[in-house]
Amino acid sequence: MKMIMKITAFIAALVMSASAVSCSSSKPAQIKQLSAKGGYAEKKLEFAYGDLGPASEFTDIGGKVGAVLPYTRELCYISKDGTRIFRDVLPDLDEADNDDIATIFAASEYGYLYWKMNSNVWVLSPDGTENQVSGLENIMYAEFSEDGRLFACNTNGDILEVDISTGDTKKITGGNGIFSTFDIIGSNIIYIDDDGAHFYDIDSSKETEVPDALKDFLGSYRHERLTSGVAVDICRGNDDDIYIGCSDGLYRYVMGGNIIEQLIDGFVSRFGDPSDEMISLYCGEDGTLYASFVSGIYSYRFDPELETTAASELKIYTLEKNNTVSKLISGFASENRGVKVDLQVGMKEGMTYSDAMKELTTQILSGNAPDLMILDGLDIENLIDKNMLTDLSENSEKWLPENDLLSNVVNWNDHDGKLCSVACRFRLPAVGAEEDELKKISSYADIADLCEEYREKYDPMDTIMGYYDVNDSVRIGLIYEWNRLFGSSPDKEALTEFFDSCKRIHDAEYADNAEASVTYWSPDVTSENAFSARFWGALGYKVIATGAVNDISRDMSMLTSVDESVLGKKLSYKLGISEDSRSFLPVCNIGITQSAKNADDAYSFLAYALNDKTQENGNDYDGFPVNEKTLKKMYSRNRNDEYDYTTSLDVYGDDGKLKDTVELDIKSMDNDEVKAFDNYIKSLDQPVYIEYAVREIAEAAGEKCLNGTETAEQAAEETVKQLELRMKE
Amino acid sequence: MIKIYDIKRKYRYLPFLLPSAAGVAVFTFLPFADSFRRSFCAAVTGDFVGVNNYKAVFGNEAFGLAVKNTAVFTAVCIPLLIGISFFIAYGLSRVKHIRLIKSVLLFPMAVPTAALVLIWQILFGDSGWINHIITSHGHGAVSFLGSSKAFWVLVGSYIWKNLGYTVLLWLTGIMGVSTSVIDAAKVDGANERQVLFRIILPELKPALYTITIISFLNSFKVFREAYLVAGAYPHKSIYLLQHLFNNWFVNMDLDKMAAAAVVVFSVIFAAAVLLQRVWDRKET
Repeated sequence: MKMIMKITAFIAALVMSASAVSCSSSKPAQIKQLSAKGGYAEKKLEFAYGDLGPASEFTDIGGKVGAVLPYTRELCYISKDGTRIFRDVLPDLDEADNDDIATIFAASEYGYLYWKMNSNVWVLSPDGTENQVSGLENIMYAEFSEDGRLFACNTNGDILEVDISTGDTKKITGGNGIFSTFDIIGSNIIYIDDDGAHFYDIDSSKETEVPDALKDFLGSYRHERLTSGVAVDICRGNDDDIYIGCSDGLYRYVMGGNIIEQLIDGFVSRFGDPSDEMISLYCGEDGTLYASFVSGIYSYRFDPELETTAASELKIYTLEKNNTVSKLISGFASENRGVKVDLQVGMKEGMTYSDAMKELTTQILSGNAPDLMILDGLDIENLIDKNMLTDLSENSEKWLPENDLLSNVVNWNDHDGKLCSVACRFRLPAVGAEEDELKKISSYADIADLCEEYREKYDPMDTIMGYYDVNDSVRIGLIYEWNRLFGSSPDKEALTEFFDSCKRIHDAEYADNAEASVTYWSPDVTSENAFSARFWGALGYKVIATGAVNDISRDMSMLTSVDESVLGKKLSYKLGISEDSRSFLPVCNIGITQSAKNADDAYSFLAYALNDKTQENGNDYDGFPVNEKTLKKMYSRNRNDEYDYTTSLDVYGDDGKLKDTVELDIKSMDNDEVKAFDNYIKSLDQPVYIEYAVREIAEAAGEKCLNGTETAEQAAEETVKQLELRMKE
Repeated sequence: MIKIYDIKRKYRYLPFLLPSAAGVAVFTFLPFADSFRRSFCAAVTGDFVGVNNYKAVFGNEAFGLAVKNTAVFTAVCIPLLIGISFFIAYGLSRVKHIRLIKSVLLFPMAVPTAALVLIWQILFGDSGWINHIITSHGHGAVSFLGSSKAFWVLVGSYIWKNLGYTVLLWLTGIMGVSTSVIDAAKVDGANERQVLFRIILPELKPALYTITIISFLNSFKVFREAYLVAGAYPHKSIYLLQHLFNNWFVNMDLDKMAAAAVVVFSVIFAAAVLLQRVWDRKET
C-alpha cells in the first residue's frame, strides 16, 4: 500500500512540475498602449476623384507607390512629398483592353491578377499575355512576393502559386476555413485562418513558427470573430519590423520581440470607422505610413507634440451598437482628440434588454451615469418621468446648428416645451408594389390579403417579401402599425388583426419554402429597414416591398427611377402605408443626462451629430438627414449625372419565368420629385418610436402565433395582459 | 482574577461569531438600511419625497396582485409540502435501510434551475409532451404556462424541488424521538395511531417550526423557475413579488422598490416573530 502511495505521489509531483515548467516557458504577449504625448497624425491625401473605390493593394510600379484602380486602369500613386495622389495610366493593363475588370487582386511590375465580371480570374504577364487562371474561382486574396512569384488563396482554404505566364496554379499548402488576412513579408506568407495565425516560408516550402506575441494578437482576428469583411493588413517596415493595420488601429511589431506597440487607436482614426474599409498598408522610406481605404489614401506621420492624452471623458450610452452610432463616435473622437469617448453598449455580448437596464440602473445609482444617451429603443417616457434627461431647449445655443433643421422630426419628443431628446436622423415606412395593387393597400391586413393573392396566383417557389428572419413579418409590421397598436392603451382587437396579418404573410412567404429563396440582402442593414433591397427585387420579381426607406441617393433615386416602358409593368411605391400617413421613424435620438459630469462635451457631440457635414457623411442605412442644408445639397445632386448609373436586371413574368434582361437608368430625383418629397417630409407629424421592451413582448407572442402554438387572438391577449401588467407597475 | 476569567469564559464565543456577524452587517443590514433611506427619496435624483413612495406602492395595482399571488402561493404550498413530506417521512422511518435512501432525497435540490426549467418546458410547453398526448387523443392543446394552470405547475415545481429536503428534515426529527418512550407506550397498550399523535407529533414541534420557516423562505426562491419559464411578465396567476421587484429594477423604479422591500420585510419579520411567540406560548 505504501509503495502505491509513493508511486502516486511521485507521479503527482511530476505532473505538477511539468505544468510549472510549461507555464514558465510561455511569455504572454504584451500590447504597449499609446503614450501620453506624441503620436501619428492622420491626414487624407488630396485626390481629384472622390473615393478610391475597389483599388488593389499598395504596389511599386516604376518607382511609384500606389494602388491600381480597375475601372480606369490607372495607378493612383503617392506624390514624393506624400501629400497628394497622382494618377498614371498603366499602358500594359490599358492595352490589354480589359474593360470588364471588376477587382484587381494583385498588381506589380511582374504582372497583374484580376477578376473580370462573370468571367473568373485572369493573369496578365509583363509581356502582355493574358491567361485565365484555373483553381481560383473563389479567390480571396493574392500577392506578389519580392522576387515576382505570385501566390493566392481561395475560400476553400487553399494557398496556391500562380504561374504568371500560363495561369496554371499549384497548391502549395492549405489553411483551415476562411482566411482573414494574406500577406507576403520577405519569404513568409502570413495568413490567418480559423486556426489562428500562420507563417509559411515560400523558399523552403514549410510552415515556420509564428512568434508567440503575433500568434495571440493575429489569432484574435480570425474570420469567425470579425464583423466586417476585411480584417487585417500587414506591411513591412524599415527596421526588421512589420506594421499591422486593423479595425482596432495600427500596430508595430519588431521581429523576434515580445511586444506589439499600438501606434494609432482605431477609435479615433479611419481604421475604426465602420463605414469605411481598409485595403492595404505601406511604410514609406522616411517612416511615414500610408493606409488605403475605400474612401481614399491616408498618411500617418509621427508628431512628437501630438496630444494623445484626453483632457476630458465623455460617457455615451447606447442600448445597441450599430454603424450609425459607431461612425458618429469615431468621427467625433477623431475631431476632438482631447476628449476620450467611452462608449457603453447596453446589450453587448449576448446581454438581454433586462440585463442591460439593470446594469444601467446600477451605474446611475453608483453616481456613474452616462453624460449622453443614444435613446433608441429605451423607454424615453420613463427616463423623463425619472427626471433623468435635461431640457435641451435651455441650451440650444450650444448644439443647434446655424442652418435650419427639420423641426417636425428633430423635436418630435417635445413635452410641453421641454425638449428631452432630439432625433438626428429618420426613416420612412414605405410600401412598394404594382400600381393597381398598391392602391388597394391602406393597412397591414391589406398587405396580407395581397400576399395571399400572390401566393395563390403565382409561382409558389418565389418568396413574396424577401424576408430574412422567420419573425420578420411581425417586426416589419410593427413599423406600420405601432401607433395604432400601442399608441394609447394596448388594443386587443387591433392586435388580433395584426397578428392574423403577420401569420398570413408569414405563411404565404414560407409556403412550400423552408427558407426565403430570394434574399435581397445586405449585411449592413436590419431587415425592417431593407425596403430598397426588396424594392430592387420588385423591379424584376412579383414582390411586395415592405420596410423603411433610408436615404436619398440610393433609395429615393431608385424608387423614382422606375420606368414602365423598360420594366413592362407599372411598379410604384408610397411613403407611409395609407394616403394620409405622415409617419416617420426617428433614429439616433440623443438625450443629455441631468447628472452629466461632462455636459459641455455632450453638447458638442450633439452639435457634431447635427451639423451639415456630419449629416452628409452618414452611412447608407443611417436614415435621412435632418439638417436642411444637407438635404438641399443632396437634392442638388440632380444637377449633374455624377450619381446616376445604369443597372442591368432580369425581369420575370407573373409565371415566375425569365421574361427579359433590361437596362434601367437610376437617376437622382428631378426637381418636381424633390419638391414633392421635401413637402412630404416637412409635413411628417406621426413619430413611430419603437420601444425595445414592448417590441420584445409583441415579438414573443407573435412568434407563438407564427409557429402555430397560439392563435392570433391568444397572442393578442397575451400581449395585452403583459402590457397591462407592465403599465400597472 | 476569578471574575476576569469568568468574563473571558462567558464571551469566548465572540471571536467566532464576529466574522459572520460582520458579514451579515455589511451585506445584509447595511444594504437594508440604505434601502430604508432610499424608500424616502426619489430614485434617480435622490431628493427627499417623504412617504410618497409608500403611497405609490400601496396604490400600485401590480403590487397588490403580486402580494396576493405570493400570499396564495405560500398558503397553498407550505401546508401541502409540510403534510406530504411528513407522511412520506413517517413511512420511510419504518423502512430498514433508510440511510441508503436519504441521499437520493436530496437529488432535486442538486438539479440546476435551468435544467429543471427545461424539463418543465418539455413537459408543459405548448408543444410539450403532455400537450402532445392530449392532442393525440383528439383534444385541444392546453396552455399550461400561459393560463391560470401555470399556478399549479409552479406549485408542483416547488413541492417537487423541496419535498426531498423537507422529508429529510422530518426524518431527522422522527429518528430523534426516543425509541424507549415509544416502546414503553406500546407496552402500555398504545396502538400505532396513538404513538403517532400522542408521542411522535408532539416531539416534532421544534422540527415543524424549523421546517415552516425554511419552507416559507424557499417559497420565495420559486421565482427563478417562474421567471425562466414565463419571463418578466408571466400569466397573472404566477406574477410574484420578485417579478415586480425585478421589473421595477429594470425600469429604474428603485424608490418604489425600496419602499416595497421595507414593507415586505416588515410583514415577514412580524410573521416570524408572531410565529415564534405562538410557538413559545404552546411550549409553555
